[in-house]
Amino acid sequence: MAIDLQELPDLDLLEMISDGDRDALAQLYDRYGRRVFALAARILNDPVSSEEVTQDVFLSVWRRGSSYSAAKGKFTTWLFSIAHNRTIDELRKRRRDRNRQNDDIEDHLNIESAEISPLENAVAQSEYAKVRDAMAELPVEQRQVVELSYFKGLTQAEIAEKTGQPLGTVKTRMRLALKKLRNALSSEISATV
Amino acid sequence: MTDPNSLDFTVPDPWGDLPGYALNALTPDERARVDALLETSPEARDELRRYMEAAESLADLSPAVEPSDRVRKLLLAQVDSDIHLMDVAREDARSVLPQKTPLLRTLLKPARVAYAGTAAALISVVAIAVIFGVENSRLNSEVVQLRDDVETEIAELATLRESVEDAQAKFAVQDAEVARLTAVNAALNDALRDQQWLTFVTQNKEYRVPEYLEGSAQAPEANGTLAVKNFDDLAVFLVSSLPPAPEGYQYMLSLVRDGVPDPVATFQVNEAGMARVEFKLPDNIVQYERAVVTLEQLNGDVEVLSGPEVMSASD
Repeated sequence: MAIDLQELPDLDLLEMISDGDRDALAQLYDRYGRRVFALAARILNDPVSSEEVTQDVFLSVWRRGSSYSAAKGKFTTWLFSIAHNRTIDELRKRRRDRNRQNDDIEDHLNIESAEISPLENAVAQSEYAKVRDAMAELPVEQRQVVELSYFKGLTQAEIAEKTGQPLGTVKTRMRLALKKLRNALSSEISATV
Repeated sequence: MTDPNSLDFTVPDPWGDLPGYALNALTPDERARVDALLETSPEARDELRRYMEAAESLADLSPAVEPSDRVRKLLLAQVDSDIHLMDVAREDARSVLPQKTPLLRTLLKPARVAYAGTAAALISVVAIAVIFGVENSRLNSEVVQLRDDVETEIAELATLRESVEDAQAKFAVQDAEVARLTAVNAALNDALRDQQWLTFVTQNKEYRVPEYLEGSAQAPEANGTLAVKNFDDLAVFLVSSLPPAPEGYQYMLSLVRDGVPDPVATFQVNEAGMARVEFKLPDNIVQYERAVVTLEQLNGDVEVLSGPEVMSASD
């Protein structure tokens, strides 16, 4: 009896990938490829580079899937950690190369949307709205350090220098922002474990 | 209670850097210190996990965009390439290595969760290294063998060329010998024919032989016969054993009357030193004292004898 890959949880797919099952990887890509690409596109504001990053991320899953351990956290957390790391590496590389910073965060949202199914769009909009609302609840200074670090790729030391705040203050704001986000989104986070 | 902002953050604080770790906001040094902490502290790992789950939710603040189909195709093409490479590397490792080492046995197992990527890379490296090593060695051997073969063929060609040159030289000698023998044979045939003719002349009553010539010191072996036809002015001079004239010279037959030579014919002898010369008598043979053969220049004055006398009729 053929296995319906769409019904399998992420970890089963990951085990199949580790056994060399390309269809399982394709299924995982279909499941998360758009989100990974969207994250890269948000940060890089460059569809071509974002596609390269997306490909690299899933190639890493194919080649290094065995390095994932459920004890370290959710699969998606691991996956988006890889995606964010890879994207930030690319952003910092470009920054070094071009000695310039990207535009404001709002500008990154100007990438033209591709065709997305209504259901996917609804889900995405729903998730987007929840996170956006949670971010909106953060104090401005906490939201700022999150945006500068996560989306602009600045280190905490660079944020301290840019904002004129002590490094300790930046660290504290990061810590508080993440705790509040987690609390605000706890139902979403636990639901996807 | 301590004010967090009053803490000295120039002192390494990996615990305080965990949020920055989750947001990818650390320098490499800071990140290394956190990694060291995570190695030894389950509490730190648990704390980090919570931060990272919160950070993951930030990904949903991204625009609703999709990658092109090209990404999926390229990804799967790369995966197919990996699979093929792994299969090839596994086959190559099996075929190249005579025995399976423990490491190889591990690597050659069906791909498992923990080893798939690493196994492919290691097998590739091992197999490619071995293949290249064996292939390189084989090619080197072939190159050496080919060089030896070429040198051997060059030597054989040189020997063959020498043999051909020797054969050609021998053929040239043989050709010359054949030519000489052909000429001698022709001369002998002529001589035989002349001898038969001379026999015919001496036995034929239509002819008479008034002169027999003998060689002088310059041609001691030479001899000749002058025959004339009765009641006619036709004469024939047969000579044999007379050395060929040097280049630029010819022989001249003269009849002498009152001590004055009267040239009647010039001639060359063949390879056998023989010649037959037919000529018209300028006067009745009885009017002449003797016959003489001299060696004269080709372009000399045939009316005046200047060369040495090589033959003359005996008195």
